[in-house]
Amino acid sequence: MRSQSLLYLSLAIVFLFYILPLLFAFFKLDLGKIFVEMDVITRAIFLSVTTATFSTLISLFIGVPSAYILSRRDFPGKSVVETFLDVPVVIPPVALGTLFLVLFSETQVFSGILFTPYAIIVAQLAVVTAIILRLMKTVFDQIDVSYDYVARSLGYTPTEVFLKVDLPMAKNGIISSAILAWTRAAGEFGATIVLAGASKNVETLPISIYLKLSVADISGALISVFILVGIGIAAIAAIKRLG
Amino acid sequence: MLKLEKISARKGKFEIRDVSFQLDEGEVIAIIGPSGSGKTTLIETIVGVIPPTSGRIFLKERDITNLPPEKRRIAYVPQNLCVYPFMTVEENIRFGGKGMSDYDVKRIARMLRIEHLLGRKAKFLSGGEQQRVAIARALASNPEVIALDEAFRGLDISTKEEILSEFKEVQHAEGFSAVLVTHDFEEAYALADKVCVMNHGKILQIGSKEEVFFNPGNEFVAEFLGYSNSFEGYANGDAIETEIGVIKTFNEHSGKVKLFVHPRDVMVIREGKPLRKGIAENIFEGTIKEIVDKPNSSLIIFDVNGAIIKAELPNYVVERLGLREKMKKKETVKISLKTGRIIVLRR
Repeated sequence: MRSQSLLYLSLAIVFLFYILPLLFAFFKLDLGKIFVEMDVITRAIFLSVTTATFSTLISLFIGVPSAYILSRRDFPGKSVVETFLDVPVVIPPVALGTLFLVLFSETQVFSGILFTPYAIIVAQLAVVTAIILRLMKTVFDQIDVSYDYVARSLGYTPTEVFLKVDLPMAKNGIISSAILAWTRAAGEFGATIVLAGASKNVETLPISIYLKLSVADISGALISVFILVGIGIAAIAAIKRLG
Repeated sequence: MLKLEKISARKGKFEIRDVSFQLDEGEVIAIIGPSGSGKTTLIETIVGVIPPTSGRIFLKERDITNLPPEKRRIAYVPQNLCVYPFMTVEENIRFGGKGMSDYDVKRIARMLRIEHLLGRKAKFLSGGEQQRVAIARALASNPEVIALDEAFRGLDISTKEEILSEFKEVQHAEGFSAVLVTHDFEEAYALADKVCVMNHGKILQIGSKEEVFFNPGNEFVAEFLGYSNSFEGYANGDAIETEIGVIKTFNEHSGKVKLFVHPRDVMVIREGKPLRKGIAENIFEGTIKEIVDKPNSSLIIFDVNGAIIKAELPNYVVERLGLREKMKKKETVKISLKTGRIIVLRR
């Protein structure tokens, strides 16, 4: 009886916090506006998709081997390194963006990319690399190290073991992490607005929502909201399918 | 062939100290000991995944102490077998033997009776099939030694018997040496030529399987191997004064000793039947306190002059001798300790 009440309570919370706002928003949606603003929406989708894809690929390239090393090797100060790697996960993206803004503008090295589409990729990278690292470390931790030992005893070097054993074993984990990172990157706002600003040439879907809201164009903002919600639901469905 | 000289190593809280033994070509050594005795640490040190803190390891006169696992030619089969689930059985075997010919893949598969499974994904294999694949993959790497860590664990009795006999057949045919970590005495006895008993990271006894199983060298080994009848006594020649009476032994001893008798070496005497040599002495009378039933044999617990003596008898013997009835009626039963099997250790 008690567990049933808890079930109803959780269903009520889900309805109140997620379904109800979506329903309200759906009825406020002006579908005709999609055709009017097709050009802007397409550009925002294209920019979000391409930057998120680039940042996800780069963060996988950096994050997967780093997570593997963190999972498999012990070295002095490992816990300190792990704590620092967790920092981007816990601090707000806007703060993270501010740190990068200061670094780039002070050192002048990368200042040229600020307020350009490249800055979007940097902002997304700052946020999603930490996510990929954290997720992939968990994935590698769950792969019994004996699989590595067996391969080593059969004549494979540590690099070969990583490429031929652990990467294939982590395949589903890599895909799930990539999907999650990609959606997170596509929806990134805090660090993006600091590093790339909010102008037409850097108008990703979240920036588009911000720009529309700043001129009180609620129905225009809702189009981008629903596209992002759709991307999120598709990502969750894909991850669930992977098991 | 494989020689360990005073090897010490540490893995987490487990430590092995000054482990030395030699394994000849084609020999199998079983490492037995209670949980936490350092068996897995030892096998991982031999495989090369744990660096020794001191000592040396030689394989065919080659010092492999500091060689990485991939250069040792010691194939590892761990507890959970680690058959790669994303590969087929054939791919697993080929993973063991880089550039193997189709003929060799089939030969090894046939030897381990997994030829019909070659195309199957490893994640769909049963426990017994995975065991065969893990051994096939190890064999495919053409190793000098195969190191097996509890690799035959968790199988039903009939599958285990089948796999053990297949392994022995393959080992004889291929002539590789093997280091086998096990908890199972029957497995150790069936497969090994030598047995090494470990506790707290040290070797307590090493020798041929007959030496270790039938002549334990110290109290711990005796108790660990199931010599659960023990009596303290004072020896004077071949007679030892104990709490249950005088026990005769084959050899002469003197001073304070401790005797160990395995329950399988305690016989129940049938009234009116002539006694053969070896069980005609060391006869004691007692009552049955309890009968612990097991699938094939029962453990009979006797009270002899206030001391407990355990006997392991086949179930049909228990029934034939009417021991359950005798227990109910509290009748006295004569038992004999096999003189030749009594272990005497100096105190």
